Amino acid sequence: MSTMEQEIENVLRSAPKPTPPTGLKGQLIAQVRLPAPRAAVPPLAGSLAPANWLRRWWPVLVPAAASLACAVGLTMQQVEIHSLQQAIQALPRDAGGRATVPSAPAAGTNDAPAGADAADRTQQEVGRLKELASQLAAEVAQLEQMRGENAKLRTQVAAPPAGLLTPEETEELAKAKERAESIGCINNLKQLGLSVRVWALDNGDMSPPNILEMTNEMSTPKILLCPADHGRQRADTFASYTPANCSYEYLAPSTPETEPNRVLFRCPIHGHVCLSDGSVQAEVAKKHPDWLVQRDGMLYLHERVQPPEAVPVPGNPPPADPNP
Amino acid sequence: MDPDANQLVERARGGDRAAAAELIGLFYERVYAFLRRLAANDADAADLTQRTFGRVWQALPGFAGRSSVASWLHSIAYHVYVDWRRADRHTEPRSHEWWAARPAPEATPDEIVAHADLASAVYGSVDELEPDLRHTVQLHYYQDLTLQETADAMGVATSTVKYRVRQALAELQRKLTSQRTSPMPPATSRML
Repeated sequence: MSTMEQEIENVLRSAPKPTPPTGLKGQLIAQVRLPAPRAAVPPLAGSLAPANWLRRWWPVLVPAAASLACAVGLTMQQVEIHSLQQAIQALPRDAGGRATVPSAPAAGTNDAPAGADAADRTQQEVGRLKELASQLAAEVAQLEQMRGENAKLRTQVAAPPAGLLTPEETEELAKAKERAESIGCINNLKQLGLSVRVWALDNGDMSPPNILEMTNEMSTPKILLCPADHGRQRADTFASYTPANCSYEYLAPSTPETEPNRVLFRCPIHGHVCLSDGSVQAEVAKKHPDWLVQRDGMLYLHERVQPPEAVPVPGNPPPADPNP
Repeated sequence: MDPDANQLVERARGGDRAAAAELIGLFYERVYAFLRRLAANDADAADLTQRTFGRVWQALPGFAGRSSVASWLHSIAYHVYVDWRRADRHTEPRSHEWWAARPAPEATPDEIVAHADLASAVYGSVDELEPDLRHTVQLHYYQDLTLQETADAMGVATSTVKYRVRQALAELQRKLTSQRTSPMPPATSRML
């Protein structure tokens, strides 16, 4: 505290007291209207009478009493549980004692007919149990045999022998499989082309510099693997993706999206190409390689393509002719 | 004082008028002084003192003794003053001249001359404090109540009273410093 504050405090403490006017005390005394004394006037806090003490401490006493009651209840429960546990432990001993009681006099009296009956019953029981065991062993053997047959059938179902199908059927099956893989490949290229277009929309109509740049636009890395490409492994996530997980050739990195017949992707297995406009031309690279022209390091679909294998893509027009 | 006061209150609760008269004699000067400072008017202070003791007798059965009798009485007086000011729409009284006209009666003339300017400035500055700070100063310093008693009388926490006292002292110091830098006519000249 500074000197000035001390000085101020001293001045404040020595402030003059206003003196009451004369006669005020008399008026006050004359105006005293004391309430009628009650029979049981609660004494002041300082006197520590029981009622006042109770009034003062009831907020503490009530929770304490509740806690005490809970503790007593828990203790009684524990005692009861303990006694019940002891009773439960005593039960088997009593049962064992009672079980031995009838046999004791039999052994002690050496009653011959009773002993013979017991031996017969035991023999019968043993015979019955042996019979049951043999039945169970037979069932187990039967189950083992059935399991072997099941395994054989499973292998037959998994790899049907070539003899089951005729050569024509086998060939048709292989063709159908190839066609299904080709359609799957076209679908992949279609999705890749769409991803490139979406990426280009957000990036000034430029194609992405590499495939990893447009992972946000791709639904899954599975579309980067051609179904017929059995030599590569499919990446489950983009985090584990490497170029080794991609079947397709990306031919137009970081190029403007102004030329719709520029080839973006090519499948080296099927020869499908995906153009800049998002359309996919099936097997062009394999059946019509002369339609693909290389210019300025890029690959273009030079002729207007209307091959019978061209896949119509709903919503996307065919590539525009650069030289109409 | 308080143990006796407690006994007087207890006797008064039992209907003892003599105890009530003793209680009046013990406290009416302090209550009047407090109300006089609040109301800044002799007649209003006397009226408020009578109202205060009238309410004291009504509240007597409910006094549990949890606070001291002095803080209880000051609390009643403070509420009587607040009710009076709200009901009659009185403005906050500011009485500079009252302090200058009433120096401490026990002070010698030399002390009066030496401290008159400072005292006048201090009391005037107290009157200019915000109501909460001013009432806290009046109860704690003028009425000689402890911090706890002041808190009981005002119905606030003791920490609040401590904070207000510190704030009031800082405010007074600031006011006095500014007054010293800007020369004012001394109080002694106004007294003369």
